[in-house]
Amino acid sequence: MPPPVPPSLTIAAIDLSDVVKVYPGRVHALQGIKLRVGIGEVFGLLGPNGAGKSTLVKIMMTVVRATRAHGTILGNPVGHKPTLARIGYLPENHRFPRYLTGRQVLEFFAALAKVDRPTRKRRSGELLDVVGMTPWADAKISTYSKGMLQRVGIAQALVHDPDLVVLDEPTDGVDPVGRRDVLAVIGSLRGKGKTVFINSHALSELESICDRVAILVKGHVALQGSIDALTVARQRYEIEIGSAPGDDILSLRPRILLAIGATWNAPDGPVNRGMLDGNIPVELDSLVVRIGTTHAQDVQPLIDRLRGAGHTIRRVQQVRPSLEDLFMSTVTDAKPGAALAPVARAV
Amino acid sequence: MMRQTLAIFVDAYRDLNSRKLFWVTLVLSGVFVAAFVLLGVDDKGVQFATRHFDMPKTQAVYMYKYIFRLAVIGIWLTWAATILALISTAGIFPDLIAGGSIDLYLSKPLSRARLFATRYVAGLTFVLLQVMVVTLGGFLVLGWRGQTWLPQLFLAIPIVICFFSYLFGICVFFDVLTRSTVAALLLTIGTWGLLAGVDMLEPFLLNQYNIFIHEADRLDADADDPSELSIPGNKSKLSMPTPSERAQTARDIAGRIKVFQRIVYGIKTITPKTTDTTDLLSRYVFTDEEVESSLNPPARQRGATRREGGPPFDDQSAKEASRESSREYRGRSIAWVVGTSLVFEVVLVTFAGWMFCRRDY
Repeated sequence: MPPPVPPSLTIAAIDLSDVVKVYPGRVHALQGIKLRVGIGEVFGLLGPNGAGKSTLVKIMMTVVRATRAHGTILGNPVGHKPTLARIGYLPENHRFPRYLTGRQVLEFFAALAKVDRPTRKRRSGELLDVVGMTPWADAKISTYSKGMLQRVGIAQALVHDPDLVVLDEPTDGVDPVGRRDVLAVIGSLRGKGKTVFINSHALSELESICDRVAILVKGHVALQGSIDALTVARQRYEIEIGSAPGDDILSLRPRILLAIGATWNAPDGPVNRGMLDGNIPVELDSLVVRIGTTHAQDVQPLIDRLRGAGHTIRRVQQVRPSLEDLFMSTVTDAKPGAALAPVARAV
Repeated sequence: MMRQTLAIFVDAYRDLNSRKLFWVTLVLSGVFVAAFVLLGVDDKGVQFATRHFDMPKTQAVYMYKYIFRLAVIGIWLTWAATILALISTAGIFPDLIAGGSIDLYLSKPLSRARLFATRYVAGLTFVLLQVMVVTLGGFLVLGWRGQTWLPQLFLAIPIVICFFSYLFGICVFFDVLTRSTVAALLLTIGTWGLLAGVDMLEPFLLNQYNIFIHEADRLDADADDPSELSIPGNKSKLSMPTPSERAQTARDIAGRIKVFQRIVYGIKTITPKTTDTTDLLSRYVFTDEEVESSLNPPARQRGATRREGGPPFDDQSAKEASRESSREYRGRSIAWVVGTSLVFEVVLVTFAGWMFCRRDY
């Protein structure tokens, strides 16, 4: 039975399917992206360098032309220019005209977004205040630090009061206080029912603010879903086996492997991986046995077997992976389109 | 739509305003024009600072206009200020399409084609402001000190903008192609040099053709004169080519020059005519009579001249040839001079715009 669709997804702010980008030289940057972001969600896009994150964001913002793209953004086809009046965008490593002041930057880009003069003057002042840049509003951009530029950049993305905000590395170069402020701004956007799409490497920040995430690997969506659902689905049990002082761990391992009674794959470095009865993945890393299940009853026979073989159980714990664990396991274990295909479905 | 266009124009002005070179050029333009206050025309001739040079007033006025046309329009606006303008504006498109900058523009509800076209037109603001200052100043100085009010001087505004737009179009093409300000600037100046070379070569060839044709006509006339052929005891005459033979040689050379001139003319037709365009102003500033009188050489230059390695030329033939060349040159239609140049510019800028619109950033 398919998982229930979260209410926010019934109306999508971003609904992409089969987004393909092939750069000259047959470089396949995106290989059929399927992505859905609900209205009012804060959505995080993750992936290692070269995964295609920036290309996807740029296709959404019409900076890069897709080789093939189906789907909609705010109800209109991808690439529909008038829709961009409802989207705010903070590019990575943005470069504002250096001869403008912070206030002029906001007013200029608001004008390009077709905001009338009184509104853009009012909004610029308000947003400069929100991002803490009022004291430097009339100083030239060329005098700003990286963090100040990023604050103005975020204000620029919001100056036309967009329904969807796309932020590419919003906390890049921002000091800890600034990061907190940026996250607060994103939180307030969520409160106003705005949709926020964030492309970032700052996993802990994403974990704290995102409702849902997608992990891109080599041009594919390797994983997509709410952080809760993804991490719960990847909960596991860990059994730590005790050893007496003077025990040789290396000599213990064959006995533990035998006691677990799984079908083991060929050893992969210090970690042994295999399958228990019922197709439950298991691995032995040093003296820790990890069982890929969310059901406590699947662990009981294994505990019995280990104790029966004379091993001491020091700890049994249900472990929920962090977003970073999820990211690392997805990125390092990924054989895109193969092993990850089952979990690539929206959770 | 107007809101976005206006914003881009205001931004272009702010950009120019922030460039020191813009103000340096503007001040130098003002100084250049103001320097003409030192030169004045009165009923007895020309006055330069405290010195006075006697000459007829009509000649003095012509000289004043000629110097102004040559120095302010011909040298300052179309060479020095243009180079400074190119240096100032060559970076407009590389700055626009730089990573992190273009994203901000393309993510707005503004089509790429309109962004490109608006930025292109806004880039001409530099030269518009410069030429307006020079023309207004020039008009006042010519009227006050040169005793001649020339409203047609304001034609310099569209003419110089047209001229600069050819170069700016080439520059923008190279900007989009190379994404490098320095490369685009060097390639533009190199192309400008080639175009100016073609521009100057063609009237030179035309004049040479006319000189040889007139010389051939004169020699034919000499051949018909029996006194020219029967000089008794002139033995050297036997070894010299006859006037008919010399006329034929001149026609052969003229024919070869004509072929070359037609080729250069053809190239000129499809490329921007920078020199011809700025020369258009002379048509309106100088009357035909002034041009005709300028082609009358002073008495000391009269008499036969001989070009090294070529046949002797009669001064009258050369004069006639120059007049004819000048008439033909001045008679070329504005549609040919400006129209075909603008066609080239439109094609090149459209191609640059197409590259700009199709590219991934």
